Amino acid sequence: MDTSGRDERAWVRGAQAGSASDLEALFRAHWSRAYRAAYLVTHDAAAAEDIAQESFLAAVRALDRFDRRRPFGPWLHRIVVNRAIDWTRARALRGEVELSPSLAGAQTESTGEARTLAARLAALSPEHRAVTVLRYLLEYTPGEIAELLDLPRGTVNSRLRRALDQLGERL
Amino acid sequence: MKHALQRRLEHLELPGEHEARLRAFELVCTAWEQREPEPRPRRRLVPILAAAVLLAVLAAALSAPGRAVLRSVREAIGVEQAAPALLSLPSRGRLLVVGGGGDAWVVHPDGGKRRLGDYTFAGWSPRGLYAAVARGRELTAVEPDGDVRWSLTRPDGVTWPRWAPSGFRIAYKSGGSLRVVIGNGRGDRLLARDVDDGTPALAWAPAVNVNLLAYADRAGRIHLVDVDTRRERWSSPPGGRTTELAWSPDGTRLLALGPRRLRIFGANGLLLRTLPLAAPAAVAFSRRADHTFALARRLDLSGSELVLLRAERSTGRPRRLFSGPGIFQDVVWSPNDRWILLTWPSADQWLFLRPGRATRQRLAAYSAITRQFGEPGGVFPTVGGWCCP
Repeated sequence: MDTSGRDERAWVRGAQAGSASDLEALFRAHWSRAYRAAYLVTHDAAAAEDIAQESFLAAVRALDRFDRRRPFGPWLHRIVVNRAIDWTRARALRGEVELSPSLAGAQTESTGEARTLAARLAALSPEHRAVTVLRYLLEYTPGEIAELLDLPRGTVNSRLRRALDQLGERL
Repeated sequence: MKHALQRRLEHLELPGEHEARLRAFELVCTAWEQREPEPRPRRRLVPILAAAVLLAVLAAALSAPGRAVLRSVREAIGVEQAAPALLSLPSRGRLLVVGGGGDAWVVHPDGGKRRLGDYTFAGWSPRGLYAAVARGRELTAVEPDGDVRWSLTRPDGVTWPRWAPSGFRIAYKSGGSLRVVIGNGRGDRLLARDVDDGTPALAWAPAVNVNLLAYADRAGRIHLVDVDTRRERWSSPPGGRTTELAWSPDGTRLLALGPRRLRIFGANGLLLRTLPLAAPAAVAFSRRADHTFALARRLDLSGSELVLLRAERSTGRPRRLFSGPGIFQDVVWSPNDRWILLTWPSADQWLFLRPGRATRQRLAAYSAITRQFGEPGGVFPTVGGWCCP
């Protein structure tokens, strides 16, 4: 969903002032991408829901302190993507096996191409998935991604290049 | 022009997205309604001072039997002038406590303790004449002096025994299933599979002429079952991991507590409200007719709080009784409904709080709880119930 910065600032201001409809507008503008980003990094529907949900809850709780001059989206996306990376690393450390329906397997309505993309995304490391999602889903520039993830820009570029190589040829 | 990969990522179908969105929106709205506006910078000290004043008032008003007056709250975790030992209970009734070392204890109103034995789970019978206790693969009924009435052994570990209000049934978990046994130890049978042994998410409805048990399955569906006819009265949609259930005394409200949310069900399983939580918490109903319950919940970073809410569509503005750093564990109302026992592992303390108007509020604090029910530095004890004058 395309959202102008002016709309977003107005919604934040309205929600801070107690407007439920402005809060809803903020939610509608950002939920889908937050959930999608979390899912594409974690490949786990329950985790994606928790991560997107907690990120919104954190945002709501901090709404009164939020600086309206700053854009809301990047702030939310930073929380979502970092939490998704942490969750994925933790799962790897615990040696968990994915049991929930995944895009790669259980999406019967997905096309073969979509399944291939999902499977290839799943084969990337969480760090590579994160930069891919930030660049190609959330449309940040490499410089902005570097800032969001506290990474050198060169690292972001190399991760993007490598991720595209692995996703690339047959897509 | 959009990158081909971008288009594909945007249009991938994701499982559960719509349902997740609905759930999240409800939680976000609830959190937004409940948020407390940030104070102006020049008033930054006001909440701190208010909290200090509240605690000082509570402390100054302390008049629990056998205790010194509390006058201040220390800056470190815990109430500073807490008594060094559990000297007495502020109300009649006996506490059932499981120490971290795996001992169950009965605590009498005068503070005297009697060890029941090596048990890791314990719960009172309806009138406190017996306790259902468990250790390893054994379920046992004991008298309050520790005498064993009967015992049964299962192939798997036994957890969370709960005695029905009728006195004629005991429910417990074992090997990922929910089982029920008659109060005399006979007729043990399976009631449901696919439950989480690790959580006490089972609760008998407060009816004495029928044995109705609410339990949560692994998907977080709540089921209400007549255990004698095995007929299911209702079940809820999945709601995520559920760790605890609690009935209102009139049986018209059921709280389902999970790590991230508290669901409030009305009669016939109607979901009235969902409250978001930052972390696992504890709940306990008062006996008041207005469905008041106490909720111990974690705040984001600043510690935990104990609040009173009402189990209705509109829970009312939370009434904070106490807050402090670290985590709270158990919340238990006294049998006469005047006191709340709040256990505080981070401070190694028990707090007895008497809610009410400001002039009637009381607080009694006891420290070194772990040592009194086990080894110093061991696991903080859990409270299995406060029963029966």
